[in-house]
Amino acid sequence: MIYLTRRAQRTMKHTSALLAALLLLAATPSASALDGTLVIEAGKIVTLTGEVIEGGKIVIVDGRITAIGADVAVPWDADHLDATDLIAYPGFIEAITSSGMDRPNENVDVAPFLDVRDSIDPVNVYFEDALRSGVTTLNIQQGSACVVGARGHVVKPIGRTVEEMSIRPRAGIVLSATPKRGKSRATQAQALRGAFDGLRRYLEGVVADTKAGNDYAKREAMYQGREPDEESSKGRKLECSGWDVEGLKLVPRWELDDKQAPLVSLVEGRIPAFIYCGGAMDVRVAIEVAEANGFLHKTTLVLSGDSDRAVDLIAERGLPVILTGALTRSEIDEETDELEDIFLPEIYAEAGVRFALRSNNATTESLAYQAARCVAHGMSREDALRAISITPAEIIGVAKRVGSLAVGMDGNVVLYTGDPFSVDGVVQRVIIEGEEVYDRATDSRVRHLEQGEAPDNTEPNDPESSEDGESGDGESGDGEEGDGEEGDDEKEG
Amino acid sequence: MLLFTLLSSLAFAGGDAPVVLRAGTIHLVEDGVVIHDGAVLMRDGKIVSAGAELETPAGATEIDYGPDAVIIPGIVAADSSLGDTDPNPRTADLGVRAEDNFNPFTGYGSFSRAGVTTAYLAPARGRLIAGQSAVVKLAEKRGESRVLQAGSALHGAVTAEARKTPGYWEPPIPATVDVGIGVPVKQLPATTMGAVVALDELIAYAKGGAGEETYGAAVGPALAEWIQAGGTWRMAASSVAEIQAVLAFATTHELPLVIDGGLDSGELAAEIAASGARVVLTMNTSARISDRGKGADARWAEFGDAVSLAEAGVEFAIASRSARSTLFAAAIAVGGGLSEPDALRAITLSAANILGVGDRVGSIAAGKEADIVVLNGSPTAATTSVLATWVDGALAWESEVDHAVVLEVDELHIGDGEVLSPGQVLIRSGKVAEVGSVVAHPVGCRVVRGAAAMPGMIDARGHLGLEGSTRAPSSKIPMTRLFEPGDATDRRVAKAGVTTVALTPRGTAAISAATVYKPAAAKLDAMLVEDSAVAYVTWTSSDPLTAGTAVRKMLTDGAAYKKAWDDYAKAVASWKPELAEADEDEDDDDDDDEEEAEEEEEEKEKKKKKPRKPKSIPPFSLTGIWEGEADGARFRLQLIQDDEAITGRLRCDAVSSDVIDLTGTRVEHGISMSGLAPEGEVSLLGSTEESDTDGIAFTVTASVDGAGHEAELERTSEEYRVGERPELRRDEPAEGSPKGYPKKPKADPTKELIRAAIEGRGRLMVRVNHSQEILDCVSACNRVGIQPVLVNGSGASSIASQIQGKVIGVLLTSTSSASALARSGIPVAFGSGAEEGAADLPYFVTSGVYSGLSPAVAVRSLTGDAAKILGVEGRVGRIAQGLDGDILLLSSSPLELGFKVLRVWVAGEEIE
Repeated sequence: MIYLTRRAQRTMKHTSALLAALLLLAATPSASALDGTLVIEAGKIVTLTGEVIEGGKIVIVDGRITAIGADVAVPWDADHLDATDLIAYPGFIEAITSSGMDRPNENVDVAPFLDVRDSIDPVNVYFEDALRSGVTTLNIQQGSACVVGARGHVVKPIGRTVEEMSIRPRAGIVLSATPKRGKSRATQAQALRGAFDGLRRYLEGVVADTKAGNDYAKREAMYQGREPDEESSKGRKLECSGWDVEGLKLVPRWELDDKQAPLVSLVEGRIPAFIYCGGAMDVRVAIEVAEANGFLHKTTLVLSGDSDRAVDLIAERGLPVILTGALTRSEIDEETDELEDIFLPEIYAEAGVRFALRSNNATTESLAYQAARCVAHGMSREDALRAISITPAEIIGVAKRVGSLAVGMDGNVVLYTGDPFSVDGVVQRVIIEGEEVYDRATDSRVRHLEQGEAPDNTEPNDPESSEDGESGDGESGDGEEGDGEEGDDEKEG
Repeated sequence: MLLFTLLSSLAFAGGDAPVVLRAGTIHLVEDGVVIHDGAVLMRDGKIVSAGAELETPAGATEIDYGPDAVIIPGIVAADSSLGDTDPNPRTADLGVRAEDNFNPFTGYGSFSRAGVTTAYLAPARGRLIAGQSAVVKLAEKRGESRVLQAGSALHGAVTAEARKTPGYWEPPIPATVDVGIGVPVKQLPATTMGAVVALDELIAYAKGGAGEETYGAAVGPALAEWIQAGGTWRMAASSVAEIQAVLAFATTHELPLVIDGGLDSGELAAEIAASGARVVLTMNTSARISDRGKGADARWAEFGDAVSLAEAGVEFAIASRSARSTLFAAAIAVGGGLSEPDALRAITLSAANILGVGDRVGSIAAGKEADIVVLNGSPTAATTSVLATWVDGALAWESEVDHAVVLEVDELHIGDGEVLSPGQVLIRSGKVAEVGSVVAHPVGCRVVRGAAAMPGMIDARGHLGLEGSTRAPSSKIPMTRLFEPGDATDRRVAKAGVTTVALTPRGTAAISAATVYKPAAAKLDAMLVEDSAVAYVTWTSSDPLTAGTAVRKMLTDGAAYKKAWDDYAKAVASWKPELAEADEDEDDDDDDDEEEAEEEEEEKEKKKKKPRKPKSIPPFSLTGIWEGEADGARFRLQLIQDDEAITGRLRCDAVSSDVIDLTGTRVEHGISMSGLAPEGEVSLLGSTEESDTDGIAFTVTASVDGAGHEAELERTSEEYRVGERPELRRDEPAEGSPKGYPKKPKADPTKELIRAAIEGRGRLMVRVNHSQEILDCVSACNRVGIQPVLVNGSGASSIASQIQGKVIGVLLTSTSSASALARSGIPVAFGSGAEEGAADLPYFVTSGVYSGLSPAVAVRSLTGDAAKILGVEGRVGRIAQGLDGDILLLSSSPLELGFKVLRVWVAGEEIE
């Protein structure tokens, strides 16, 4: 494998894309093998369903946990994974991220017709980093530089195609109350409200056309190549608690424009909404818009800046939140004039707001680090762990599959060498759906870092050899990804 | 003090408990009602009532801002720049809402400080229709409820600012070969006419006509809704043409109009009144000066618009884009001829009405929100500023208590006879900062008005503070040790007007010292005026023959004592270290003789052996200051050589952080010294060589802890130190003084008092009786150079002309002889000779006035002249810049009988 230069990447795209893809197929362990039985014997199992099992076994059959406990029956043909010196945790869950994409943002203000699946880059090194930090589920969503953004995708960090990675497609839609570039708070808010006014006007227009006997919508749908199935050939009343479009029942759903369909799903409360808020002022607008358009109950706020000032507004509505950034905010105390650091999770916890954490970056400030900071500020270990497992699973709607270790859940297990909230606890092994997908012992990058050994098949800093187009171990696109992430952070901060 | 403690606690208590605010003047604004000496009652954030006869209900907190404070309703800023941001690209857009740009999660303290409690937010500027404006309350973190009214008006403009609207461009989705990315479409307006056309098109669009193509899909229906609901149109228009255009537009379509900006609206006042439109008149409150153009049609600043509008009966608000200057904007309008009630209304109730919140704020009326501003003067005077701001019945801001006080009186008696009428004095940090007929009014200063003011009075001989003790304190105990910041008695005396007392021990000591102090000062630091300022002696004796004997002796002794010190100082100043050669000429002691003998022998030897050989004790002295450099640091060595013994001090950062005292001996070709530094023992070895051409070459090595620092030194002075000013009570000369150094005289605190008087640093008060005694005393005193202060000199009046210019003044205990002395120009002062009885001093003097004493002299004798007689005129006695802020506020002129002391400040702090 070769660390490619940008120039080499460009060359490779044109000349050796096929070859690279073939090599990748050979290099990555098969992630589709859900069949088979795996027994993990762990020194300790933190299930997060209540009990901590000392010296137990986790039986995973065909990717699902079938048994878990100190003394469980083990199938005779099971593969054994000896982790008696390790501690098992449920795989961690990234509540929202814009990493791992070709481009995290789009220029167009209102673009619900886009889907991040078209932008997810399976070989992005970000996913490797995620795995190395024990993250097994990621909610990939568009960045905050938007008004109404693309639909998101819940994935696992393994697989060669988006389909292989996919856990849940079309998993929600992002909106932003934070002004994107070139907008003020008022014009951002206006654009956000305007998106739904536009939807309403569109639906009313379609109804009016239909009533008038015009079939523009149908002709457009056929022109776009859409075909009715049984469900979509029927007209339905708009199930929005915020407002109604009279007569929408007359219009078969398949005739509705693809561009508007995701927003219809949103106002009908069928998909979750993630609203970026860069500060308390944005929270006000976000709640107002969600309430007016009937999707407040499906809304999660993605908070940064001084949003904690609006904690009462959030608590009143019982909204879950995702906390981003450094988790602290400095403020000058009005009475003492001293600069004091406020630890934000504490404020939300006190107000009774359910919150999930998010990595501040993929490596040094990953999920476990963010949770460890909460523990350092006095939060219980259990609560801190929940904020990176069960709570994000609930927020992205996959709590029935991931987030804890229990019978029937996906076999996503992270095996730690010690306390994940301490510097000496590191991820030793990761199992996703019963398949061991990461082993620190064979992690060539870690070896490179710790022992100075170059990863297999690489000759570092030799640009000549990269011209051969030999292999690309997920490094391609790193530069672009990095750029994108930077822009994203800028927006959210 | 208590009052303001209460205030601070209220700030956190919120507006739940009823609060009563009292002030000398209350402008209700509603119907132009002004209440004098009234009160406002607030409860639960609302105004309950206001009136002159208002009684404080049980459990209510009462705050009295005093008779000089003025209460007005919270100021409503009819314009501000709080909401402004970049406008939307569309020329008309009702979707932009000003409240989205308002942060309700932060405080707006600077607005409370300026008395602004409610403000208008424009959504954006620079568009024909920029969006919907909002009205917000600024103080108190009320969260969302701070927005009083969202969608208060449709905010737009036909002025030049709207003519910069860029072309509109929307990215096509997707941009393909079939769908080009297009070019921006030009938008109206580019001229006033274009603005009128666009407005008409928009109305047509709102009424169902075409326009979606040009103006977008959203604005038509939104406008239709706005017109249907009868929403206000606030259009910026700032010239006759523009105002005519918007008036015509509003009249044609029957729209409620508010003209924003309104420059030149005065010319169209009648038309505006007829159309029912209202005006927000924007004043330029920035201190910036710019050219306005030299053409005939250039606009020159005119402040007459407001007057014309008021005369025509147009409802108008006065505003500034910088909302914090709203009060100042009103002051400018008053400068342009507007009446004060009209101006006040224009920044409160009229502004609130125009913004559509007149039912909630803008005046002091039952049921309205309790937004109150307390001012320190008339609302539209340039010197007025805000003392406190209450919002929703809770304190939002108040000025610091001890910030500054300005007294404005009809008669300001300076204390030296001069009277400013009217006069003002600014007291800041305990001192008088400015005196004049008009002085600076720092923002937030307390202003106190009254009939007259004068400096605090001085009891030139009193006992207040001795607590009945008849013993004179030992002169070794500083009187200042007895001080204790003002107790109740001290404050009562001060309230009577006597702020300074020359504290004189009772007792019968031959000589005693009086200390001038302020008994009522709140802080220890401010109490002392001058320690041992006055020496008090008695000339009179029961036996006429012995009268004055003691005093004469004291004077002689004192003069001798002074001479001894003067001689000493002279000797020190002229003293030069004795050089060895010089020793030859003097007959000192035996040692020297021996040395000389040795030297002579040596010299003889020298002459025999070598032409010039250094003697064992070199002929040159090293005394003096030597400077050089060691390891990059300055090396400074002060040496005093006394024969072989040598002492000195070393300052060199390379050697030690401290100054090191060194002792040692002069050895052949050098010195050897040692001392102790914080870093360890220091040894200093030096070698000297005298050459005819280069003077003395002196190289030393200072070693501390084994580390040596070498330096080549050069003599910068031959004196070890300059003559030292003799210090009191240092009886022994410093140990280790060099030989031959002048001997310091023995210090004597008693004689020191006389010496101070001779030198003019202190005063000598002599108790005398009849005229012969006075003459004797004065001549005795004058002989030694003292101008005495005569005490009890009842005979002085008869010989006033003889002692004129020979005495500093006369201290009297009765008023009878004061007039005669005053006629001769001899200052007089009065002493109470009592403790708390000092409080009667003013009445005592009044009675003197009744019996013929000039009132002006009476005032002076208690203030400026008393200070002069006590020698403390640099601190107290007058109202002058830099002097202590000891001031009395009087009910009437002190020259008139029956004046009362109303309020008292000592060192800038009011005595409660």
